[in-house]
Order: sequence, then structure tokens, then C-alpha cells
Amino acid sequence: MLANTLWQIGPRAQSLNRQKSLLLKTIAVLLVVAMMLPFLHLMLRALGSDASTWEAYLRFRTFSTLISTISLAASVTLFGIALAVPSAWLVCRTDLPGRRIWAILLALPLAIPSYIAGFAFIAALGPRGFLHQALANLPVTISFPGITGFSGALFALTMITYPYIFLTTAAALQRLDPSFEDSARVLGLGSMKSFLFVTLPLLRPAITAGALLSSLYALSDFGAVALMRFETFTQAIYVQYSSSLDRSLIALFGLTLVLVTVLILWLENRSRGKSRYYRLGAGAARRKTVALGRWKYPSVALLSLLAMVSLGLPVANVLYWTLRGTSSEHLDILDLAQRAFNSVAVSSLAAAAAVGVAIPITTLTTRRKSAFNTFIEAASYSGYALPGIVLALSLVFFAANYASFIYQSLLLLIIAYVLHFIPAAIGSIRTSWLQLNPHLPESAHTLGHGSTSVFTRISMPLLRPGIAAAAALVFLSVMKELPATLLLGPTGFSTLATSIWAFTDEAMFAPAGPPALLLLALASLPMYFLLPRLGSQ
Amino acid sequence: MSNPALSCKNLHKRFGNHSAVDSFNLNIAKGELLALVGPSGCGKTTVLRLIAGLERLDAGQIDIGAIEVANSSFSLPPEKRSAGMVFQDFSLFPHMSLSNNISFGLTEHKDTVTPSSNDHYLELVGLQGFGNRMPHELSGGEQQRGALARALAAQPEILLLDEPFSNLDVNLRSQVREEVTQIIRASQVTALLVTHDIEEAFSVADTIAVMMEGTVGQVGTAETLYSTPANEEIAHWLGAANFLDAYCDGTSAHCELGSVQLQRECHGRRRIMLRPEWLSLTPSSDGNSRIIHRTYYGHDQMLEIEMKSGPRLLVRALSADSIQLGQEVSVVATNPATTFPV
Repeated sequence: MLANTLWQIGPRAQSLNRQKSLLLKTIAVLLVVAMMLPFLHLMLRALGSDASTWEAYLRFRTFSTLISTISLAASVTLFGIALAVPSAWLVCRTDLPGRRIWAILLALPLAIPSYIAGFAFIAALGPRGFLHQALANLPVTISFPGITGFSGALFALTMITYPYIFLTTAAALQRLDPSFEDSARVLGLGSMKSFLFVTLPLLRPAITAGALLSSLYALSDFGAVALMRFETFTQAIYVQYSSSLDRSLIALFGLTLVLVTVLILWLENRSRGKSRYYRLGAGAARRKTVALGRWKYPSVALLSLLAMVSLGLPVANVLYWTLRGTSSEHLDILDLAQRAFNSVAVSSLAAAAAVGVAIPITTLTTRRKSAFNTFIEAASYSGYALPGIVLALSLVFFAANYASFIYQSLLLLIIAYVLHFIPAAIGSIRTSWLQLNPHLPESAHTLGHGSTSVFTRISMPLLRPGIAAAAALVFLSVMKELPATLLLGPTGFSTLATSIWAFTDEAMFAPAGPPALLLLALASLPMYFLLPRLGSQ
Repeated sequence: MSNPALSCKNLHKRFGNHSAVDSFNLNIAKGELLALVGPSGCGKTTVLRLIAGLERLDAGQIDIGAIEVANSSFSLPPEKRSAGMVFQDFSLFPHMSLSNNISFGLTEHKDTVTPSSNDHYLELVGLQGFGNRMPHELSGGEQQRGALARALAAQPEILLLDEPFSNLDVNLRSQVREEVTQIIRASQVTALLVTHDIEEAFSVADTIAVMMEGTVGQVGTAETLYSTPANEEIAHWLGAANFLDAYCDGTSAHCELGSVQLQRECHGRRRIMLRPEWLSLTPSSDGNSRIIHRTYYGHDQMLEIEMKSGPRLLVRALSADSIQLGQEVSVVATNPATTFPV
């Protein structure tokens, strides 16, 4: 009798699970469709180009711009690695004084938008900058041409993107089982050699993950390169968008940029190889720290210089604008508060939406391997392949033609943010899922809890660090985001980022100070969630 | 006759092209502690996961008590089965105190829960006063007992233990093994323990099932399995064994060792099996063998001898016996041999 009753409960419970699985799959398919729309639009537009468009495409310095764009992204990444990896090692593995503080200071430049950094570096290190003038006043002649063009863009972008590599590398160093290094030492390698031949190869997946973020940032940046007067593809697209009416040409440029991004993703995937993820060991072995000895002060000096340039200069510059502004101009507190509210509101909404989409998708894709899941996962990363400006243009086109009711609405802007930044959110939550011991939810099931209870009481609390980091990353990125906000924001909608851009575009630096200062402060808050126990014992 | 506490009928499970469980049959009586042993990769853990409902059957049927929980077309979800599981890594929820871990399983039986339930299970496993500790504040053995308390608190019909002692230090293992076995016996729960450690199975279980390549090769008590294994593979796997070709004529066999007693009457050409401790040797200048290798264990020693007629044999001797490498000895069988077909 009892068996019979259970026969009836059983299949119902199963169909319930099937329904949940179906819901997850529906969300995943919707996201993939949304992500494919911009690609589709670019394709259609590009196919619609006539001979004159192709002529314009080839006449425009396409090839040389492509080369300079790629060399910029590559150089930014290489310099970033050179700065970030030794810094991460110093912070995580040595007896450097104040390691926790260094970890924060070196990660904070992530909160600085490239256009703010660009202005600061021009003012300090540019051809007529502070350093140039100081050197000119010296009795001896020291030639310093100042940074501009390629060198300027490279410098500015390196200073604000090395924290990506620093964060991923430091997190991996923190997790890495030190017994590998110990084994190398026992086998007779010196500490330098064991770092080069054992630790560094083990860190490669993490370094590559950070390098991917920084190279894609360099590729799609448009603030710093515009200020440094260095022509890249992203900038060319923006110029074309604001001056020309040939949308097919823009689509061709966009596709070219997408191709470069796909190439970078392919390189990253190859470099990462099989050692994609590593689980945390059962017991965290006590980490031994390397005594720096007489290298202590040089190390502190180097890190101080890095922090002072990458963080100190932009902050000082913004402070200078602000102080000069309040003395000479009237500061509209209400207006500023409104913009800050707009910034925080869209950033929070985008962060919540991105996490809301990323959780079901990662739940699905990390559960078991299937062709469908692999496809969803690959598709969800394709957001990386769409530079913000290309994505924004596609959405403008899509909304204007097919969904006019969301054109110029906040909804469209949030959709753009989610599509643009979802890969970072998925990456962060996915890593947490992969580090979650599958026996924990399984134990909960055998203790009589259904899927919903297991998810809310076991999985969610354990995924929380990954979810918080994902939300923080999206929040931070949206706070700084410029091209999509400029193109998709409703008329009259202004955020801190767009108002800084608007003021500085007309060379009004004093009024740009307060919003810039506020932006830096607000964007640094979520850094708290991105620095899990870094530098602490 | 009452139903067995667990019955597995003809279970099949494939992963891709690999057949993990193949025609697996097993019954466990109520209150019995059964150890499922087998080499790594033989499918033991998959069987546990099938019973717990963490994997789905391809074919066969599983009953827990009188309830059919799985067959090829239907699978009761794990939370609806009365099967508790203790994992190899203990899997205490790291974000909950030990008490909360234990009451996590109690919540589904609200009507029977009293405030003292939690303490009762803590006491059962000897962890009184540890309720407020977080899992990382417990030692390996304490985590092990905590996981056991959590599983028992849910009052399962059957308790499944997956290699529960393999994550413990060797010097801690036998002690924890003893404690855990006593707790299981005290709570009178039916238990199925999976292990690859034959010594562990021998010392803990009432009944042992030997699993080879996805199926049960033999079920029986430790003594039966050790002295009368079902085939040569199991004989090898359960401990060191000597095999000799022999000709049987009823109660004795004729082989290199001369005439050897047989456990069961048998006729014709056979292979006979003798465990190393079923042989005895005495130093003798014109013995039939010579010592070629010696491994000393303290309480006893294992000697490898080469018979003058060719075969090599393993002999277990007391460590007190003074024996030199290269010494000539004569070997005789002191226990009756098991026979296998040629």
C-alpha cells in the first residue's frame, strides 16, 4: 500500500524537478538569444554594405588602426603582468609590512575610470605637464618629452588595468598549495627558481584570466585613448557614429573589433589549457612567508611609487579640480546628489539583474556536462567579444527599429549593462560553484531536504562570496561605464560618469571635480567584496 | 519472513561506455552491518549513490524496507528515501555549528523532535558540549562522529557510509573505527559500509560482500570469505595466497608439498589454495625449500621460500622463530586447502 502511494509521489517530484530544470533552461536560452541579437545586427548591417562602404572601409586607415589597437592591447597586458605579478607575490608571500593595506591600495585603481586617469596623467606627465615644467626649471637639462599618443594611452591603461591581473593572481597565490613550492625547494631549486619554474606555471591560468580582462578593457576603452589622442578602433567607431551616417561602415568596424576580441579569447583559452580550475584543498596548509631582508625597503619603495602614480595622481588631480571649483564656482549639491543617485541606482539594478541571471545559468552549466550546457556556457562568455560601444550601437538599432517602446528607456540601458558585464558575473559565481563540495548539497538531500531548501540553506550561503564579488564587479564596472551610458541613456538622464565626460569635453574641469570625487568614492566601496582575506594571514 | 532492510535486484548503471554497476544483487537484514569491499573503481561508491538516490538506475530495482525506491523508469528523490549517508570527507556544512548540522536532518521529522534530540545524538557519539563548535574547530575524528550523529538524527532506515575512515590518520583510524562501529551497533541501525580496505571490512562488519567489476562476487562472514573464497581473484584480493597444481583423490590432494588435506571432498586435477599461515616450516639441513626473502612485521614475519622443485610460496611465521635468509627449511601444510577448478 505504502509503496503504491509513493509510486504516485515519486513521478510528481520528478516532474517538479523537470519543471525547475526547464525554467533554468528557458532563462539560459533567453540570455543566449539576447546575446546573439547584437551579433546578428552587425552581420545584417555589414552584409548590407555596398561598394562605396567597402571602399570607405578600405580607404580609412583600417589596417594601421587595427595594428595600433592590437599593439596597444598587447603592450598594456604585458606591462600589466610585469607590474601585477611581482606585486601580488610581495603582498601574498613575503613579510612585507602592511600587506593588507598594500592589497587594498594596489586593487583600488580598478575604481578609476579611464577618462579620469587620462586627465591626471596628462596633467602630471604630459608634454606640458607638471613633471615637464618641473624638469624645465632645473639648472641641468633633463629631456622628458612627456607621455602622449601611444605612450600616453599605454601608460594610462596599464595603470588602471593592472589591478585585474593583481587580483586574480593574488587570489590564486592565496589558494595555491605551498607544498608544490616546498617540493621544488626540497628538490634543490632556489627560491627564485622555484617561483619561476613551479609557482609561475601554476599561476598561469589566473594570470591569463586577469590578462584577458585587462586586454579587453584596453581594446574597448575610449576615454583614455581619446584624451591621449591615440586612434584605436573603438575611438574610430565613436567618431564615425557621431559624424557619419553610414551605419554599414560602423558595422564593418564593429565586426573587425569583434574578430580581434574572438582572437584574444581563443588565445586565452589555449593558454589556459586544461588547468582551468583548481579546487581548494581540504586543509589550508600554513603558508610560509619569505623574509625580504635587505629587499624590504626597495620593495616598499617600488610599491609606494606604483600606488602613488596609479592611485595617488588621479585622486590628487580630482581633488585639485574640486578645490579649485568650490572656490570659484557655485556647486549645485542637489544636482550632484541626483546624478550620484542615478549612478548608484543603475549600477545596483544592473548588478542585481546580472547576478539574477548568472545564478540560474551557472546552476545549470556547472551541474553536469551536456552539449546544451556547453553551448550555453560558451554563449554566455560571448559578451566579452562585444566591446561596449558596439553592443550599445546594436541595441540602439534594435530598439529603434523593433522595440521602440524600450528605446530611450532605463530598461534598455540595464539590458545593455547586463549583456556587457554578465561574463564577469558568471565567471565569479561559476568559480564558487566549482569550489563547492558537491557532497554538501548531496548530504542535505539525504537528510530529507528538497531542492529549494537545499539551494537556499546550503548552496546559496556557500556561494555568497562569489555572488558578492560578482555583484561588486558589475556595480563597479557600471559606475565607470561611459559609451553605453552616453548612447543608451534616456534623454536628460545623467550619471556621475556622463556629467564628468560632459564637463571635461568642454574643458570645464572645476565643475567635473565633485562628481569625479564622488564617483571614485562610490566605486571604491564594492572593492571590499573583491578582496577576500587578501594579505591577511 | 520479514523484508530485508535493503534489497538490490539486478542493478545496472553505465556512465557513457563504461559499465560501473553490472547485475548487482544484495540483501541486507534489519540491524545488520554489511561491508561492501572491492578494489578502487569496482563500482562500490556508485552502488551507494544509487541506493541514496544521488544517481539514477539504468535497470534493476532497489527496495528500502517495504518501499520500492527506484527502478529503471522511476526514482524517488534522495530526500524522500529513508537513507542516510556519511561521506568520505564528512561533509559537515561549514557555515553551521555542529548542533545546527545535526538539527538540519531533524527538521523533517518535526513531530518526533524534542529539544533534547540534538543533545541525545551529541551524547550518542560522545561529543557532549561540542554543539556550538564550527566544523573547522573539530578534529578529523570529531568531524567523523559529528557526520555520523547528523546522519543518525534523521532516523534513516539504512545508513550508508562511503569510505568513512580513509580520511583519518592511520594511528587514529583503528580507534575511530572501533568507536563508530559501537555507535552504529548501539543505535541498532542497518548499515552498509563501503571500503577498499579488507582489514577494515574484516574487523568491522557482520557480513562482507566482495565486489568485483560491478557485481557482487561473494557474500559471507569474514571467516568464510578468507578460508573459502569463491574464486582465485577473490582469494588473491582478500589476502596473500599460495596456489599449487594438485591431483585430488577425495579428502586429500597430491602436490609439491606432498599430501595435503582438503576442506571439501574433491576428485581430479585442481588448483589448491593455502594461506601463508596455513603453512609451517622447520629448519632442516635436507629440507624441501630455501628462504629467499623475509619481511619482518614485529608481531610476525612473512617469509618467501623457494621449493627445490621450483614453486615459490609465502609462509607466515611468528617473529620469535629465528630464521636466517638462505636457510634450508622443510615446509608442510597445517590446515586443509581450498580447491579451485583448473
